[in-house]
Amino acid sequence: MNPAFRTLTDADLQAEQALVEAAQRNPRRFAPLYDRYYDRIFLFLYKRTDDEEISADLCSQVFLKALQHLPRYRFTGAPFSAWLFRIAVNEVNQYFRQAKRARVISLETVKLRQLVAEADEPRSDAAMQAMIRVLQLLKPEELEYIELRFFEELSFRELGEIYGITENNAKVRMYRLLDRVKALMVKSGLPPADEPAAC
Amino acid sequence: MPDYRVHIDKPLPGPERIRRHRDFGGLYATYRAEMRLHFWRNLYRNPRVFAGVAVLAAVVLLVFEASEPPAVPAAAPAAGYDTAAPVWAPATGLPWLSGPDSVQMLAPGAWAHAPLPDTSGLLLRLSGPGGAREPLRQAWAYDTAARRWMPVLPQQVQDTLLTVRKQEAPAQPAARLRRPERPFGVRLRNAADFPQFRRFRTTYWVWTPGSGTQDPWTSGLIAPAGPVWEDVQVKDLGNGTYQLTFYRPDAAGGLKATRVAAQPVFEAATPEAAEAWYQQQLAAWEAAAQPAAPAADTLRSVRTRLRWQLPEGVWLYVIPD
Repeated sequence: MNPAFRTLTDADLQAEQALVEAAQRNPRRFAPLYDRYYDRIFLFLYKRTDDEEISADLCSQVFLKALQHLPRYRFTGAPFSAWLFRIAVNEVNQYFRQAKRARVISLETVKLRQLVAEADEPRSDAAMQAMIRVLQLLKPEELEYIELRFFEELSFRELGEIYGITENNAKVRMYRLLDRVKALMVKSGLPPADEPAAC
Repeated sequence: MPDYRVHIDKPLPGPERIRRHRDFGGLYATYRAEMRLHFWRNLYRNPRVFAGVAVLAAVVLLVFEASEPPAVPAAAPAAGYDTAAPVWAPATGLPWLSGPDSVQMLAPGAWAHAPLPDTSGLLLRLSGPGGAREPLRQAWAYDTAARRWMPVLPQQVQDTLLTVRKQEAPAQPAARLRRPERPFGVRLRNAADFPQFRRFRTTYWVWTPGSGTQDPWTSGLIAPAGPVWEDVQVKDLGNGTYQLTFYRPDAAGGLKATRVAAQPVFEAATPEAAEAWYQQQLAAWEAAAQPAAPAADTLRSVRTRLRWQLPEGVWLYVIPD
């Protein structure tokens, strides 16, 4: 697995699970989890809305729903953040459905290069431009999947938690999506690379 | 093709700017407010809760149907209406009338039910020391189909209840009427010797019951022919009552005194006139004391009136004066 992706050790997961259980017993104890994940969720929302106030509102909704449904949360081995991202993804989709605004793709050059490498393309400027065009051809749910994996650096276990699938299914889904990206890159005029890269 | 806006390496808000939006206190307050609303929303959103509430409402409705809870008449509170008293009488433990063609005395304040063929019943409540003799002023009927009290025609109800009252009334004289006492006169042997008694020579007296003295007629002190007395002393006791002290010789040669409390009632020249007056009073008393003979079809007419007046399944609640 690519070391760039965020992972939590078992000890971290157990400590986090203790925090979650404390919050389930007493909602006031949700504050540590709120403080720990607020920035990540806020930035995730900001990158997709490009509006600080809207992001703040959506972020409040995300944590409010998390607090409301916390008694139903069950630990599945994935970090608690995966559950928060699942709520955040739903909130963002609901926001764009209602607002009928154009979706925002916030790209970072470093992570874009990584995505290009994952797609077996040379890290050239042409490949970068082609990738940007290809990303705009993807469906919103496909783009969302790539964003969570490559720009939010979520693990497959977290992706599985978000989409309600197993970790292996999350990997298969990602491979198929990268194949589609490659095909679109070829369509855009860039020749495919010879060697596949590990995801 | 989806509509996207692409930003490359656009600067993100720093930790300080993000911290401005972070407010766990506000989030928790919103959460508490939402959870309060959430509880009430669940009552109709959650199918289980909704079904539970529906079942509970059905049970309450069935219990209501089974028990027929009393409904206090909206316009009923009137003088003498005791809201604490039960307006609904259960079917047991009541002085039921023994049969459709018979009546019985009802105790004051008691509830009674008269089973009638075309109605669910006649419910009466009698109060006051006079019991059934008290006039009844207003009546309400509880319509079991409409579940509401409704006033019934007062005149019809009063007629009906007065008719029932005659049947229930015992065959005894009215309490305030008393059998008249036989009057008596006082004759003196030598009236000229007692000028102080002159003004009572034609007076007829009536013994006062409860005065502590004996009835002169029953004790034999007075006879129709009338004894002649040696002496009579009259003492005014007030309230129109006098004490008559009769003196006559005894066997030992002395005088025996007998006292009678009496009231002067009229002046008559002869004993025949006094007897005629007494017979007149007696006849008047007997006429007043005898209860009116109930008509043979009284109860039948009561039923007819009620049948005409009240629909099926109606309870009648009567508010006495």
